[in-house]
Amino acid sequence: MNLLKKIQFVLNVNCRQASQLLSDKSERPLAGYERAALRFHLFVCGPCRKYALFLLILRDVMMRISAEPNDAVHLSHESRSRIKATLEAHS
Amino acid sequence: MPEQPATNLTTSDPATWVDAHGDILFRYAVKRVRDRETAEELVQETLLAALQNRDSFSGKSAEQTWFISILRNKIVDHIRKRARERDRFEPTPDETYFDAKFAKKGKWSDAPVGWSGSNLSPDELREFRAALDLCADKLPPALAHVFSLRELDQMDSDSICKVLSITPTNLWTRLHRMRITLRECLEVHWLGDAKTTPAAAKEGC
Ligand SMILES: [Zn+2]
Repeated sequence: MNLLKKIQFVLNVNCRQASQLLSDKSERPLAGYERAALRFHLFVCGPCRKYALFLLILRDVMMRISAEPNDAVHLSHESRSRIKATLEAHS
Repeated sequence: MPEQPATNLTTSDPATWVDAHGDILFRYAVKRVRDRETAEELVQETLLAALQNRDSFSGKSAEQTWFISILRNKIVDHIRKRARERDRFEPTPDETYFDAKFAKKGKWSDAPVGWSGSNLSPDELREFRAALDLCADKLPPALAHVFSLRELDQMDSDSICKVLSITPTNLWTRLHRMRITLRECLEVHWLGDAKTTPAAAKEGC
């Protein structure tokens, strides 16, 4: 993309593009002009700031969920016996 | 015949596996596949595979780590298989999906509202998770798979692309789609009334 195109992108970026960039930010390093476009858009757009906040909350909660032990969850008695029987049959 | 060295190069007695590791493996699986029945099957397949490949256990890692690495592969295989079945019925998501979410000139049709403060109290967190559970269940399969791999398993983009055999651009589109779908659903099920406050709805682009 040439410089003029980049400047145009920064100035004209819309919610659809900005929300894609917000999502992409956790997946790949953004290019300089993409970061600039996002910063500029978030400065002027309340709904996208809300969306950015939602993504932060989601990421935070998902990290907690994937890290925590779900100790209350147990294999049922039936499946326990079934798996034991299967293992024994194949031993 | 040379005697086997009496180190920890062999596994413990398979008869003890279910009691010693069953719950841990089950928790690991259920968190990722979000379905008890499938998780039980995966645990059984894992222990069976471990039994049949006992000789390959090197003793370099703990036995449980070894089981989990087998289970992880089983989970990835399971998701890959499901994703492939689904692809036959539902073509790859295309850009038209977003046309309904964004109005003219790319503005939100249904603008995000009500999200404030990222520090949730324990109560809020519990409610958020209940709503998230419900919303994740409602995701269409193509999005549910990327949700499991990316958000629940915290797998990186490259690995997910390999598992699902899709391009990075396709994955990023799906992730974006999954996130805006969750956002809409959570606004209804978690924020609920807060969303209808007129003051909150006024804020524009
Ligand atoms: Zn916006």
